[in-house]
Amino acid sequence: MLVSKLFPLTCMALLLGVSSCKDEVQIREKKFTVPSTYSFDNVDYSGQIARLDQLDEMVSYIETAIKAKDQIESEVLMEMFSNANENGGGNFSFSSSKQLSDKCFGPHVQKVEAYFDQIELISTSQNEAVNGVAGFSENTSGSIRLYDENGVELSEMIEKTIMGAVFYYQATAVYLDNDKMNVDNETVVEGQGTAMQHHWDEAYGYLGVSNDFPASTESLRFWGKYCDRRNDLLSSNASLSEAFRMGRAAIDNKEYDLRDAAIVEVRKNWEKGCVATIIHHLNEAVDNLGDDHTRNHVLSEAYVFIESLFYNPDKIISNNELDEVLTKIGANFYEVSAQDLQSARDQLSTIYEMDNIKSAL
Amino acid sequence: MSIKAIPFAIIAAVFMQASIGCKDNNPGEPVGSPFAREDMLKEMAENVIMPSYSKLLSDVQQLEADFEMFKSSPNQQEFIAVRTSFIAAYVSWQSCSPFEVGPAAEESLRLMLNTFPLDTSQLKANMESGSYDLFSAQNSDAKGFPALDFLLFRNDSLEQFTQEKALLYFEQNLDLISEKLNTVISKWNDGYDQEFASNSGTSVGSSLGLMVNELNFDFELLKNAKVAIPLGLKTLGVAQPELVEAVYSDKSKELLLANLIGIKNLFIGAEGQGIDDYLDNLDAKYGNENLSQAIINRFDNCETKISALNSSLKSEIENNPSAVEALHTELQNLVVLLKTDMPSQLGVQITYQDNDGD
Repeated sequence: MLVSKLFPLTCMALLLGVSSCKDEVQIREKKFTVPSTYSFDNVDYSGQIARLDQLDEMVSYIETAIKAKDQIESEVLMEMFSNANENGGGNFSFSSSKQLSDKCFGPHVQKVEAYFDQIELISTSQNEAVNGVAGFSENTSGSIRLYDENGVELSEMIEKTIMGAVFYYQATAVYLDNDKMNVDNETVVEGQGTAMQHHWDEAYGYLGVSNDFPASTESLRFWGKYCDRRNDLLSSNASLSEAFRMGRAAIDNKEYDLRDAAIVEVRKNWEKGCVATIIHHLNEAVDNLGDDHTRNHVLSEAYVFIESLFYNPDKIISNNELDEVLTKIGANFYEVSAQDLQSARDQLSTIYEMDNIKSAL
Repeated sequence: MSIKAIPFAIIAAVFMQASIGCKDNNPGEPVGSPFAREDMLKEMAENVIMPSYSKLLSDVQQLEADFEMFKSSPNQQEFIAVRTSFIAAYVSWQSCSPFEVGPAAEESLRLMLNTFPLDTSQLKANMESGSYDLFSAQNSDAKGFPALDFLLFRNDSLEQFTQEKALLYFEQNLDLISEKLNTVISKWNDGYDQEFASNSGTSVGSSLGLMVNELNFDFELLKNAKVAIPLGLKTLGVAQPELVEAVYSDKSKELLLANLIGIKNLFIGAEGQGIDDYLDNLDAKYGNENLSQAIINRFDNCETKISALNSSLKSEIENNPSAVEALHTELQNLVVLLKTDMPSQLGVQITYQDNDGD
């Protein structure tokens, strides 16, 4: 679907060229060959890979502890989040100068750190999780999860808040924003391209896909994984990938109107992928309404992804609507009703014009 | 600047004559009648830079004297004296902040003296352990004026300030400020003043080029770090009032105003020749008016907006954000002229870049 939206832009660029001379048309035609994968010169987003790796290992630390019903230490998570001593205080299997905390949306750093304290606190109890009591929940197939007294799964809140407040925020609100886009596009640093190219690539790096995406959907991570899961109904892989490739090609050719159009497309399609994921999880919650173990898990995901919508500077939903949707779900996941969840879902699908696919998601 | 209008016209006329028949004009130089850039630089150093450093030095010396008094008789009266002279020095620093060229750049004066927001946990850990190196990377945001601001104003009791560890940390930071400042001033007096005036081209690395870059860099720090970030303009509208400069003494408005006036003063060259005169010499226009006047008008608009704020920038951000937004709009209006129109008229390139090293 994005293919069809960007196509006219490509044509417009070609038409502009027609007015001057034949050679220029040819040059422009060449310029606007957008590669089918992210195969550009001087692409480097190793800093983003390092941060994806860091979150991977934080999640793995939490999940391993929960599986064993071991205590989770806030201090360990703090060291990993702020990458103490370049290896997360010895908790990372690798060394890097990058941090998650210093790229986290500033006003929400404390919120993430409070989750660390909270998960430590509830992980020390050996209680069984029920409404009003934080503890572990184990289902018949042996899955073990850790919920707070309201059924909120802190491990999901930590992982997805960082996905939102670092990856999504940095990509859509920081690297694609004026301060990082109105920069030098002349001086090429070997391996990194110009400052503008590099910033664009850094935004791409936070998507968690390889340069071969979408031809290959191997080794997708975080947002890339969720984007792929909604691909059947949204064609989200093609839309997001094309928007990123279009923007990088436009930068390479110094066509800034097209770059700006691509920024709009990246933000819009990333957001749509997030909304489709939320609707999917809300549907799952309704389908599993009587199953505390599953419902609390998918509602936690839905809730934190709704919160994440906030980080996109071009978000379609207003702050008030965002609060309304969260209020419909409510703070206690044991006490939700199918009607409230459907109402939350319907409000989102209306705002995002997804009514036709809302049940299938 | 008007005071100097007549002598300036004479100088310009003399040089116009001198240039007739001179064929070896540098093709990279901006058009317009030749102008004694060297004289302008000399006057900027004499009338703006050195007096600002001297004022800061005497205020820092006063602070040192008051601090010594406090140590010998740690009472409320002396405590207030230390606080008062600290504020005076911090205000004086604001006019020096734009001159990060030559010695100040070598000493990283701005980073050393005024990196904020302060990392209070780092500062507390340092104070507690008593073993730290203020020059190490991890202490880059745990020192200088922001550290003094914290130690003096974190609460209203002088008891905490009188603790041995706090006094020691205060003294070492005061020493750091004093040492760095003295180094910078002696380098200026030991020959950099000559070098500054004689490096009178417009290319990258020339004194004018460096000055215009640093003036802009400092102005963008003012606009972003002191206003836009606490106001929430970099965080999707979520305000972070606790990130204002001097959050403990709550003197951010006063400092902001002093910083703006300092930058303007550099532009107009105080009572002597400044960049404004040079722009006039180049006949630089903005619409129908002189670019210099357009810039001065916008400086004045910013000043009016700052003055209209209530005494605490932090509380204005919390309770009256539209007034701070109006200020930010004026700052935006000025940055366009300072960063685009002025450098292009001067033939100077803006070379600094926002780089977070990623």
